[in-house]
Amino acid sequence: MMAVIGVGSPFGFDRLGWDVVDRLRARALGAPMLWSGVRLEHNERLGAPLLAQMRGARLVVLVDAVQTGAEPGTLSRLELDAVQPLRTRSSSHEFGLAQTLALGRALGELPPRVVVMGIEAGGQTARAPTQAEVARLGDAVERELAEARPTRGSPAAARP
Amino acid sequence: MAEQKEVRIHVPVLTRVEGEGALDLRVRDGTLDGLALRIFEPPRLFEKFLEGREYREVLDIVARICGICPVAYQMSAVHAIEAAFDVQPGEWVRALRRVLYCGEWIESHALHIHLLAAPDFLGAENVIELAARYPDEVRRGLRLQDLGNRIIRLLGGRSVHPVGVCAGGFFRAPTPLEVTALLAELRAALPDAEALVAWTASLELPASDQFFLSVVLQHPDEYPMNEGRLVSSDGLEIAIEDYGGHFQELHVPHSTALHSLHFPSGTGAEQIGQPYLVGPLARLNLNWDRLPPAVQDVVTRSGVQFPNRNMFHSIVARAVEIHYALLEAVRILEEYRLPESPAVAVTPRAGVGYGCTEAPRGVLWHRYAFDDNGGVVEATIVPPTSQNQARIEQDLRLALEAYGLGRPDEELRRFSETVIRNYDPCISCATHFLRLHVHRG
Repeated sequence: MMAVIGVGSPFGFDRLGWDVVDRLRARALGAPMLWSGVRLEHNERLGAPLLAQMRGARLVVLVDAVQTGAEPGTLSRLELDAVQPLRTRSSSHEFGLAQTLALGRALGELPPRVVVMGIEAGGQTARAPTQAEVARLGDAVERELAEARPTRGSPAAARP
Repeated sequence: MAEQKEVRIHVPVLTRVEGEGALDLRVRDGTLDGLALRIFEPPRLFEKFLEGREYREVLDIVARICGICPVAYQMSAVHAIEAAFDVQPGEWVRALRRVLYCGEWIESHALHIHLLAAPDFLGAENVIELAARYPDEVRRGLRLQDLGNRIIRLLGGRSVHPVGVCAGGFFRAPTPLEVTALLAELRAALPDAEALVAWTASLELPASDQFFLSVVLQHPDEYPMNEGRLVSSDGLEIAIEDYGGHFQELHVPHSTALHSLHFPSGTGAEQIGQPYLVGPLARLNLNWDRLPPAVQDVVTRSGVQFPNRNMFHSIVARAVEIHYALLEAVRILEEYRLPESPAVAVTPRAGVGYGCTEAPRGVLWHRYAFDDNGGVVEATIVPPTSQNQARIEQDLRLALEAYGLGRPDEELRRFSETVIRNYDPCISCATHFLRLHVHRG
C-alpha cells in the first residue's frame, strides 16, 4: 500500500496539497486498477492525525506547499532524512510537518519511505495555486509512485 | 539602599504554549518585589470583526479564534444566538452538541497532557524526546487525540475550524453507519483513558497547596459543558446573563490581554477584584459529584482526591475529563437515531443573547446584540485564558517564593514555565507568550 497525503487547508496557496490529491483522485477514476494500491487522502491536522494516516503504508508521499527560499513555483522533493525540525521546542501551533515526522521517527512509527513533494510558495501565500502548478506537481507525484511500484518490466512500463 | 544589580535575560522561556509573551521578575533582598506576565500580541479584534456581520457568519468567524478549541467558540456563540432569537433546537441537537464538545475536550486535553505538560514533569525538552523514553504512553496519547479529532469530524465535517454547527442545530446528521463505526472505536479506547488517569496520577508532580477561587458552570444533574449557572467556590451562584455584574475585564499596563477579576459583592461595590481559576481543576473541584461512578472509581483507585488544592493536579483533572468525555460520547451515541431534521428553523429578531460554555480551558462567555435582521450590533467575548491571567500571576508569586528566589535564573525560568504551562494558556485566544527578565537588586 502506498499513500499520497495532501497537507494543508482550504485557503490560499496552502490548498496546494488538497488540490493535487483531488487531481489524482480524478485521474484514478480513469485507471482504477493502477491506483488500487494507493490511498489518496487530505490531511487537515498535523501531529497525531497525520501519523495515523501514514500508518501501514510502505511509501507515503506528502504533498504540501513549501517555503525554502527558492524561486516561487520551484518544484521541491525531499526524502525524509532531509526534513529536520527547525527547532526542538515547539507549541502545538508550531507543531508542523517536520516535528510530526520527528515524533513519528522517535516512536518508530514512520513508513519505510516518506517523501515530501511541494511547490515553493514564495511570499505570495494568499494566492491560490494555478491549475498548471497543480498539474505539474500531480505529474511529479505520479512519477514518484510509478518508480516505487513493483513491476515485472522496467519502471517506465508501469507509468500511468 | 543597596546597589542595584540588574540581571536581564532574554530567553524565549515558554514555547510549549500557544503564543508569545514575557515574564518580568523583580527580586529585591531575596524577596519578590514585582511580577508581571507581559503579553505581546495585540488584542485580537474579533469582537470588532463581528460587528455588521450577519448571525449566520458568526460561527465561522469565531471558530478562527483558536485552532485547538474552535468548538468551544462555536458552542458559546450558537447558544447566544439561539437565546437572542428564542430558538429551542430540542433534545437531539442538545445531545449531539454535547458529543461534539466531548471530542474537543478529548483532543485538546490529550494534546496538552502529552505534547505540552508531560515533558515538564518527566524532564524532557519536548514530546519528541519524551517519545523516545515513553513511546507507549505517547502513542496512547496520540491515539486519544486522534479519536477526539474524529468525533469533531463526525459532527463538524472537519476537525480544524469545523463547519457542521448552525443556529438551530446542525447542517447534517451523521448516518447511523458512521456513528456505529466510531462508537466501536470509542468503546475500545476506554481502557486507554482509564490507564491515562492512573499514569498522570503516578507522575511525580511538584507539591503545592494554595487557596484559589474557582469559577465554573454548574448544571443540576450533569457534568457541565453547554448549560448551567455560574458558580464559584465562595458561594456565588448566578445566571450567565449576570456575569457582567460580578466579573470585570480590566486593562493592565503590562499586557495586551485583558485581566478578568471576580467581585463577590458586585462590580459596583467598593472592593478589590479577586483572581480566579477556570478550567479542568476548577470544574472537577466543584462538579465532582456530577461525575458518573465509573469515572469516580478510576480516580479513587489512582490515589488522587478531588476537590484538590494542588494546581499541578490539573494534568490529572484533564485525564479524568478525557475519561468522562469518552464515556459520555459513548452513552449518547449508543442511543443515536436519525432525526427528522438536524436543525429547527431560525427567525432572527432584534435582541441580546448570552452564551457561556465550558471550553477545555474553562468558562468561555459570549454576549451578542443583534438588529432586526440578525446583524451583529455588538459582540463581547471573554476567553478562559484572560480569566486565568490574574490567577497565573498569583500562583507564580506563591510558587516562586516557595521554590526559592535565590536559585539560578535558568532554574527559575524552567519552574516558571512549568507553573504557567500547567494552566494550558491558549495564548492565541487571549494573547501570546514568553521571555524571562529577572531584575535582581
